[in-house]
Amino acid sequence: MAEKKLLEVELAGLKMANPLILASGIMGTTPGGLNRVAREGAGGVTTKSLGPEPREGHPAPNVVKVTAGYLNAMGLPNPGVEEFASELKEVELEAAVFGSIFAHNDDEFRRVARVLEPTVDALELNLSCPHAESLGAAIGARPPLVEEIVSAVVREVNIPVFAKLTPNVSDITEIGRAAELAGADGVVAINTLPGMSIDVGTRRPILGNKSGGLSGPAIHPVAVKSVYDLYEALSIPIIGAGGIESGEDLVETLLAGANACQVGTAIADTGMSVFRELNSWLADYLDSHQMGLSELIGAAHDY
Amino acid sequence: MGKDKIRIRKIESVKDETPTIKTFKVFDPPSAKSDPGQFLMVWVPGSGEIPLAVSAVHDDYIDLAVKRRGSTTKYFHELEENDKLGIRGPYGNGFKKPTEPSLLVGGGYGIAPLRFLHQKYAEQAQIHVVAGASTEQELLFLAELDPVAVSTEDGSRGIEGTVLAPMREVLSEVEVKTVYTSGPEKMVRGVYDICINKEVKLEASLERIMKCGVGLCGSCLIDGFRVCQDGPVVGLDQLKEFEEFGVWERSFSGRKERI
Repeated sequence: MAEKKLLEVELAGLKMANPLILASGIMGTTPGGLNRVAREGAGGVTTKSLGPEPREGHPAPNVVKVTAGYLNAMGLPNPGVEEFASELKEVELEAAVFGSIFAHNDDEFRRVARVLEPTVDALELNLSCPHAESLGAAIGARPPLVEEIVSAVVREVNIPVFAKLTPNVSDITEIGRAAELAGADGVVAINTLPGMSIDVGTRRPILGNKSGGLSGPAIHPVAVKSVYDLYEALSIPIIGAGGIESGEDLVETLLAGANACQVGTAIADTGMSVFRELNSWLADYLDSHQMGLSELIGAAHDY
Repeated sequence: MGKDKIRIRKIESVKDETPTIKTFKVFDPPSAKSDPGQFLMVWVPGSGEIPLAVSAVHDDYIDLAVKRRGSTTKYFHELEENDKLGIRGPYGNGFKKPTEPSLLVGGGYGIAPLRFLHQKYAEQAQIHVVAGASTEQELLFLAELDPVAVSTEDGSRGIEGTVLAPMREVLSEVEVKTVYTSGPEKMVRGVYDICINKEVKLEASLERIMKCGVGLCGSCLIDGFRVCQDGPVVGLDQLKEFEEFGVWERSFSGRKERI
């Protein structure tokens, strides 16, 4: 019980039992998958990104193991927001639910947001998928478009709206500021970095889509720096993401300025127990340093 | 990196098994050491990547039985000796080792992992086999498995219909403690219902769309269960908890569709 109280967080008015959130694209394709992760100890869960129409995704291989991470090019497969929302409606989820959405323009974003709103606690705008043509990062690297979309969605719904940012820009704080200016309740940083893996035996790119997004320990320092910079530039909450596998990774991201953190790829290496293990590590850390969770957030900026 | 890193292998030989199924023999020591029921992710360069079960092992070589179904398996069937494949895995949990009198119930090319189980353990435990297929020509591995009963959907050999009727018959005639099954989910569901009814243990291999193989993407979920990592072989107690087993499956987009 002590651990429970110690780890509670409130994010843009959203109460969570702990600061760990399942990252989008991992296990979040079905309500059953989301609930499994909630029962494994996540304070929040994010759906697979949902769009206006059903998509089957990119051809396989969709995932390649590389040094210190995974490359993936799933290609935003999803059954369409109407279909997913009707499934989600039937299920009582045991954690805060973030609905991740993608679309081509502000009108489409508005429509997808409206359909999903009644079944989720918050929205996450995917402005950062690096391997889908004219979607995700193709939009999210341009501050005026980010402003337009965030502002459209914020006006459309009455739940918190988070913008998931791409690190593949010269200055992530510019994108973060655009989101904040448009009324975002928070930002999520970072999504994957673009990458490629070529097999030397066949001399071919391995992924069906040729290139994909890099996740896992390889991108963790990029995430820490992005969160650190955003903390300096913004006053809205930040959800940190990127290669968090160990308790040290988690605390490091909080010290950089994250109010909560997403976990995804770590499930492949550690297993579903990763949420419980990270929470317990964090509780021990807070206890042994005699600190509250809120004191940890951004504490590295004192130096 | 270990087993997740793609290993490029040359095809050693190709054998026609049925009009729609070919066996590809490949040198791959990590897969040769796998447990029956585990699966591999096999990359067909230039086409796609599919999950496949090992159907037999010969020292460091494995047999992969491939049924021509979609675009990747069609392309796969064009491959010849010395063409290259990429293999990662083995993944997931295999069948428990049979120690008591057992019955293998296989439908179509789903019988492939059961053949590996039979090859590995037939001398250590009493193992009976029931095999089914759409037609006589599509019955697989009859010589190796020597089934006590066969069924075909068109009645061209054995009992007309599914494997379920001969399975029931065998269970009432010989002592069986555990049933091992693999095949289309509708059939596996039927096998499950019989096992519940007859109070026999069950080890069932499930097949779902798998995209990542490492437990991340969610495409193989049954309820909250990841067939790739938590399965693909599951026992009776686990199956009892599923709401979607044998009723609902997921398409490539993740859409829930009736089986």
